[in-house]
Amino acid sequence: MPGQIPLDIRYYPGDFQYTSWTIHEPKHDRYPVMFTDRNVVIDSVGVFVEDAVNQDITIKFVAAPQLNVPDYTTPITGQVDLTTGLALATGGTYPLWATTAGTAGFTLNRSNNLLMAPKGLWLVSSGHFSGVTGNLHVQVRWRSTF
Amino acid sequence: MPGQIPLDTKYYPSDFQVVTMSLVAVGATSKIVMYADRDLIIDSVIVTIGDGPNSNSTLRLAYVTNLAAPTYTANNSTGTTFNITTVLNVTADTPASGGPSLRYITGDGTFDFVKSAGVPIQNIVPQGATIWVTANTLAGMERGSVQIRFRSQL
Repeated sequence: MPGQIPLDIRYYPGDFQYTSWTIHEPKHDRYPVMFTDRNVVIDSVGVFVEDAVNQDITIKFVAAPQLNVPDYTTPITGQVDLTTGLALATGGTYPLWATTAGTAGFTLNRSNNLLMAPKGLWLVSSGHFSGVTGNLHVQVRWRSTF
Repeated sequence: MPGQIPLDTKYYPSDFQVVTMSLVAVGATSKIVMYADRDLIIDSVIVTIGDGPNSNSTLRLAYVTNLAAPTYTANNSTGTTFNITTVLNVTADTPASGGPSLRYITGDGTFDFVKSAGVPIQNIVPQGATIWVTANTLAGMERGSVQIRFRSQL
């Protein structure tokens, strides 16, 4: 089927979207969740941890320049924390669903949730997710109209 | 809570959407991205390679008009597999040090939509087709992602 000239992003209507992202048995401590091709506001972030972790870790969401891998403890140039940390403890109750839209202990930093394109939204952890045998699911609500 | 009769896609307003999926080396080298429940136009693609494969590889986006996983080399304009993009070369273990490798289908020129005589761009995916990422190898790849911007308004 013949195609069409791609529509430039500036001609797209305003986005009101959510991005969902799942990985099975995560083993690293930093994952790219999405990249912005226009300026966006992150309104909420949720994370679902299906199975127990085998070490105490804390996770958070950060924004970083598109080609830079963020760091958990020592922010690189241009890195900002979008959320506070969410503690995942060994022996905790799982599955766990936590969202910045209301669950205690995990909040959105409203002064950092405007992402000027191009930027990356990352999930970072204070340690590896090694030992997690289930799915890790991330859900982000975002918009380009503000 | 009571439900409702599902609204048929034909009554939906036009889609202007973004789909994101993680891309890792588990299972087969063809990964399904989405099913087109209406005719779609792919406007842009962003591919991230967090940890490169063990050996040099190439990726591309394709759609098939049946549910069979496409093979990396298959592509024709009369059968069931159609390449949407040209190949994206991925160097082994890139980026073993430093940041991820990020590639836009528009802008940085690292890969592009397929163009051929008489068929300028193969970026319209017909209803009923499935969109896939195909590769000649994914072994060793971690923390990859594919992000697609598409619309249904032709």
